[in-house]
Amino acid sequence: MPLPMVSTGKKIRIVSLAGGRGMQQRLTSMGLGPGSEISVIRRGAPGPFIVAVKETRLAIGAGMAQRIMVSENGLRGGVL
Amino acid sequence: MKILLMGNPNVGKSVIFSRLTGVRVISSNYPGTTVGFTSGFMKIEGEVAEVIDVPGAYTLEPTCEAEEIALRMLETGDVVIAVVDATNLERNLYLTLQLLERDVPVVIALNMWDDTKHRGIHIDVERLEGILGVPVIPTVALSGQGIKELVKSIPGAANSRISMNSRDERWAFVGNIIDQVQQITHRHHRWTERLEDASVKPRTGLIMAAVVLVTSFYIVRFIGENLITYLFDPLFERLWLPVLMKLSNLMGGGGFLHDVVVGKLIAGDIHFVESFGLLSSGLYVPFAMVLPYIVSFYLILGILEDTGYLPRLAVLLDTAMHRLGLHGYAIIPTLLGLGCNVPAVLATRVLESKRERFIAATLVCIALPCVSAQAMIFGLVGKYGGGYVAIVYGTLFLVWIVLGITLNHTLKGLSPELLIEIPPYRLPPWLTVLQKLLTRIRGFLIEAVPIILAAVLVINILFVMGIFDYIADFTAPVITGILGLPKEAVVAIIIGFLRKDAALGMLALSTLTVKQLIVGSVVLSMFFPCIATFVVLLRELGLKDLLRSVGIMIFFALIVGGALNIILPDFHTVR
Repeated sequence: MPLPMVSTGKKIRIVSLAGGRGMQQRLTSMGLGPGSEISVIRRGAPGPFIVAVKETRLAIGAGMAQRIMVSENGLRGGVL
Repeated sequence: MKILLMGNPNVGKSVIFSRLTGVRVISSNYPGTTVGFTSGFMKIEGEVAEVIDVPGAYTLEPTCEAEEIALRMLETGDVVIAVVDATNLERNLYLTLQLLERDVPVVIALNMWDDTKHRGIHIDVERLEGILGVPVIPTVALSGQGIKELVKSIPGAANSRISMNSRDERWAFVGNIIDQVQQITHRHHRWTERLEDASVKPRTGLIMAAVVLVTSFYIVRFIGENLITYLFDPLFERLWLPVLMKLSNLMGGGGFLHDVVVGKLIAGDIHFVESFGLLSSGLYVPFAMVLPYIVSFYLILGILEDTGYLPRLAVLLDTAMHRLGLHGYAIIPTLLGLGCNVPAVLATRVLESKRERFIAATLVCIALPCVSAQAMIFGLVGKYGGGYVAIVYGTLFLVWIVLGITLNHTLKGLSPELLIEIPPYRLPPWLTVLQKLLTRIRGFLIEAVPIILAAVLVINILFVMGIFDYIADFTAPVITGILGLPKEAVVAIIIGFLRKDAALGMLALSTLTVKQLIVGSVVLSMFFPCIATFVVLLRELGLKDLLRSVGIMIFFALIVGGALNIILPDFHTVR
């Protein structure tokens, strides 16, 4: 499911990035690559989302957040 | 020897930089770009080495202009100090590995080492050194801890033998390293973390934002005004004025040369704003009117930047500002524009894209009257009643919104989507704040002062040649026909190019109706900015965009002024 569907505080894992190469590269280099474990600190739309990746907080525009596909942590390695 | 400081944004690179180089630094733009960097010098084993604070990057596969520059600069370096945030090792190691894959000696500064303790992070430094094959030095740039060791380690910088084939392989290796060298034990939430999260939540965040913004604005004005009242004004009035008066006497108290050099005497006296001489207004405007605000503004901006608050404000206001084609960041220049447009235009630098900087700067210059213009509006229009002042302000606010939406719809391109790191709150590193402040003051003095002097000279020559009379006749159809003002008002508009307050003051010299005063105030606020703003606009936007921006200002000033002239009734008021 896309990131905006997740409620705050829940631990989730990034499954894939549905954007162009440039965006994928940008997100991955900031630690938001497939496989990263993140949690949502602030829900956006309206406004940017804020997620915690390890010790970092990142603000992501709502449009970009739509293109980050995530799954709940328990599904690790399961059907994505 | 050329030493490059490289690392992710917000890892304390600049603080390490100021520790290494001290206060004398040079700030420049990378040729042909808007990306700035600073360089300075340090001594290693008796030899002078150049140190460059490379723009922050997350990756060497460039995803933005700053990263492209970082990559290009990397090719010119002899040694790289890879600055790593120790509390965020995993993400930082990605760039570090990319650096180690390159054919350049590297030393790693494991910065913010003290923070790892609060956070229950344990890093095995020796093991990390063993895996990476280069020196790893724990540092606390804020306190200076580890900096000596870092300097000593530079000659021992080594080429690592690491090579990776893909992004995935690199991340896998990062995970592998983390498993070997890092342990995280208990971690309790610190109060700053709660504050951090509260400051981006919609409700608490907006309250905090209001407090921070209002406070910053008042401090900027407080410092600026006091510098003027207690330092710069007395310097000019008590020390410089007597010298100028002597010079004026020597030059005969009048004549062309006298008026250009000293300025016109007004009732036998030199007036620092209205005399328009090179040595009176030419020095007073940049030093006693703009410089104090440059000092106070940059001090506060520097502190806000280095505490980590600005990214949070950008998040909160992002949605609202997007309607105007702007990022949340644009709220900073907007608010500062109400004090002085000069620092406001300078502050558009915090915006990433050229399009945004253009929209923000244009909006600031057209719709935000600076504090001196506001004072005059209150003085001139306010004596007829607060309602008339409200018409002026309401009109300008409407222009701000309508023009923002219009520019957003007509200019090509989209406002970039926000993707920024929200750094934790930190105490501002005073040395870095001071260093940045000095660099920015120097920049202003070197670039703005000569242009202001040149402009004063040109305006003087035009006056003497009688060109202004010619202009008044020439522009009469517009000034009188469209705006309904007396034709001499064009002189006020031209003077407005030098100072908005002096220009508005000229409106008081002719007898105008309330309606004419309102139209005049709005038009003077919207028409092209004063020369100091003009100079920074030129510097920040470049000539082409400056002309576009000025075109928009003139066009809208005439449309809005003309519309007011038609819509507003002839108010019958008795003074």
